[in-house]
Amino acid sequence: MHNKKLLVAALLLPGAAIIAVFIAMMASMVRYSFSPGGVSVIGEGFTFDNYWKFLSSWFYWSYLFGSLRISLYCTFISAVIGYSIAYAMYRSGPRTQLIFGAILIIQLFTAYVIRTYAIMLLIGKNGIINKTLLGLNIIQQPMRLLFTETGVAIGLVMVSIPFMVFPILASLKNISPNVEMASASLGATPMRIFWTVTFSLSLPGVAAGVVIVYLFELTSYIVPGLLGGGYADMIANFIYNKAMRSFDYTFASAAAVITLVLSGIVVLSLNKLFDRLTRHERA
Amino acid sequence: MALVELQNIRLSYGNVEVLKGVSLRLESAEFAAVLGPSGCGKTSLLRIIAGFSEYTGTLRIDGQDVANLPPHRRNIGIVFQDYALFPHQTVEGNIGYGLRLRSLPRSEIRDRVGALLDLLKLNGFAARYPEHLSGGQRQRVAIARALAIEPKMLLLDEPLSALDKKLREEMQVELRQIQKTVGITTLFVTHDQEEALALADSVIVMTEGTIRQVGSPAEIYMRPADAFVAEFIGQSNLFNAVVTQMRGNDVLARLDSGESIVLKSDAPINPRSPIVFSVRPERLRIGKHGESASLENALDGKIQHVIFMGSHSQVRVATAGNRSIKVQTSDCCREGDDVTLSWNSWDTVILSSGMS
Amino acid sequence: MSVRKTQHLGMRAIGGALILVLVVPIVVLIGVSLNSGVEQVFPPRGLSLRWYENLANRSGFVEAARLTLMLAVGSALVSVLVSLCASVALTRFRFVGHDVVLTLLLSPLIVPQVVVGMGFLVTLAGLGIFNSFISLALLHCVITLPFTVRVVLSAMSGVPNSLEQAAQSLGATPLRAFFQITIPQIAPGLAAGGIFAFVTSFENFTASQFLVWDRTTLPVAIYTSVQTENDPTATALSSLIVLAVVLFIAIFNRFVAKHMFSGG
Repeated sequence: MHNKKLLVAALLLPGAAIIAVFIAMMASMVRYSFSPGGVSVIGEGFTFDNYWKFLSSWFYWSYLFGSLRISLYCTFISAVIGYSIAYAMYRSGPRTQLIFGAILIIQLFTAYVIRTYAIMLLIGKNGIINKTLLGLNIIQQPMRLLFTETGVAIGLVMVSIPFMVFPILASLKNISPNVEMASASLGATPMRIFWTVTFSLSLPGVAAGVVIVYLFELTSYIVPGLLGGGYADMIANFIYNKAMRSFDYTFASAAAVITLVLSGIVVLSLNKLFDRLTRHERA
Repeated sequence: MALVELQNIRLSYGNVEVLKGVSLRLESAEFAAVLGPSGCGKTSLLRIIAGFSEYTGTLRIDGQDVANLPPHRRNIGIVFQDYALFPHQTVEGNIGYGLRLRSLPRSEIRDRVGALLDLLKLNGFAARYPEHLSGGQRQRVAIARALAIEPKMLLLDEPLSALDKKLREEMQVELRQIQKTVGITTLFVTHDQEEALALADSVIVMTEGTIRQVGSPAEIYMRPADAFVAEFIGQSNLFNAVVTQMRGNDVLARLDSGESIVLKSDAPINPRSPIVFSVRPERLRIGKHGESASLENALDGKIQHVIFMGSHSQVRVATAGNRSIKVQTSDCCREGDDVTLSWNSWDTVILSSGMS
Repeated sequence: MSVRKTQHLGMRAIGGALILVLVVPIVVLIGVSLNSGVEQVFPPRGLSLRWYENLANRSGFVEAARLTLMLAVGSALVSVLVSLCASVALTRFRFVGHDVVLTLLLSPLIVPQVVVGMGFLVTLAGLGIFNSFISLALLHCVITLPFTVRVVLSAMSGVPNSLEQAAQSLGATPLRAFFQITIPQIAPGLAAGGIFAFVTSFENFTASQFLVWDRTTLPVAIYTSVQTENDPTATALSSLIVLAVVLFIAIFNRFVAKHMFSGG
């Protein structure tokens, strides 16, 4: 039945073509990362220079570590906030869920640039946060939030929240209500039910959210770019600058490859970690 | 001339042989059932006839080899196990789908659909959508839709399995009536032997990709061809014995636990041949221990347990030779009683004998 | 059980407060865009729509908007069609490498945006191709594909084979059965996929910014404007986009699947 094989091939061709382009781009980037280069130059030959340059200098490592560090605590904060929102939605009626859900979706559909810009207006010297705190006399001078790591952190958290909420909400909804009732009938207090039953069973959703958010924050450009203003560059900003400002394409390629590998390691480790934590969830 | 003819049909999925050389004939207006346990290949057979599966071998429908005939040109009506009703169309839309494809005039479509709504007792449901129908109603719509195109034959895949007992029994009667009224060749596939025996003119028993026996329900039940059929159809008790001598049609044999018994056989069997025979639970009589039975064969035993089923009881009797005999009887007895089982020689079926 | 009730109320209050935190920036954004003066302050000093009017004068923004819309519509269409073909192959046929194909189709998802952008830049620059339109078109097709594949594949998997087979047995050619029976079933999925693709393409920044040589996209234009300019025009543009999104969601909610937004 060669007819069928031909049909399948034809159907997969367009998708294959697009993916082929993608893979070709990635492959050639990897290739270039091994080329000797300089400013605006991609030389012939094969060399580990670019990688060596990156990996042997603390200055460059600091971008990686900085990004890992910031993303770590920002992911944690988003997880806490995201879980609270998801749980509140879970315990609410359909109307509230609709409204909350709509707000979150609006956030998702609005470009990051715009959301980040809005946060900029919020935390600036004349922003509403400073104005309110000054007005309430909590602080005497406007706080410098913009162009600091704190500002970036605030931005990362706010932008990530919708990504956290949805997976967690989905796994909460997956919990059979009978389980909680059974727990209560056995004498557990609401607090205990939450921690031992509800939270545990919603862990897969938390895991999914954490992986998505951590990866997103790790390689984030816009938030550190706008809210950090160059003072809190993360790895993505570094790569962009090397490529588009310094035109050091080969070095930037190497940095990109390193970032890619790092992302892979991060995702695999997180998955493994959560696999172990949620082992008992799987039938 | 047979309407459907399968010759040596084989089908494999990877390394697994699903159909191992199946040959079959279906006559016109016949109501046939393919009966077998899950995984025996019966659904694959159906799909091959419908045109949705590859195969090796020969398949002839109406005398024509259909190897190159695609499903949409075979004019075979199919009722799927999940009914496969089109969710976005009404009952009327579903039933009339095939007719619209044939570009029949609207008035004719309306008439035909109306007639089918009558036949399948779906009057008043024409404008409903499948999601608002009950299981039984959906099934009728599926049947009506298949019949609408006036197909050569009807294929049904486990048509009644999703219905509850009462509905199933009602539909069995209706299905039979519809088939007789319309006079269409019908092949349906089921794992429910009661259903097969109740509905079909001809039962085809299958397991593990091969056909074990083809016959009328009575034949299949009374004269199972082998141990599998005997055990699959109804209940049966299997015994091992060795033939001591033949006397005309009578076979004298000794059970593996020593008792002498008399069986019947059409063909001669060599003495000292080992045989396996089967006795149906409802053919066994339970009598008080030691009471001489009016029947030819007798076996002593003790009641293990009794399950009262209303019209009869299912009883388990332990006998010599480590057997647990199933008996269906309306006689009363209690667990622990010592009893004697008895049966007639013509109520046994010899399943395999020492002769080739 | 009143204990549970108050607990729930407490939960809802916290959740509500947190959600509000997300809403505040948007409110501030819109507020700032209404400033009558050049200063970007909140609450706005004086209310005026002048910055919205000013948008018409900013040809940079207008051009960027045109390109972004074209890319979004184009890549959404391409993605959906390509996903449809791929989904038919993946759900209706068995073949070796099924899982591999799926993983490959979804692979752009796991690569960080900055790496994708870098890859495209370096390759295209190396080839001497400095045409933004073509580069961005390719990029956006790549980026949107995994999203649509996920949605469309899921929709197609939900339509049992038996439906098409039933149609065929009734006389429909395979093609006809597909269009008359399967497509109506997956139409919501196709629409959803198209919307996701559109949004993903429209707002894409990090990767796109590597390829803005002769033309630029709206997000990139806004970003540049924020860093370099000093009036609220960018906020006006941003507010318009936000309002468009809100409007779309409101209409969608009204007429279409409500359950989509109840948080699932």
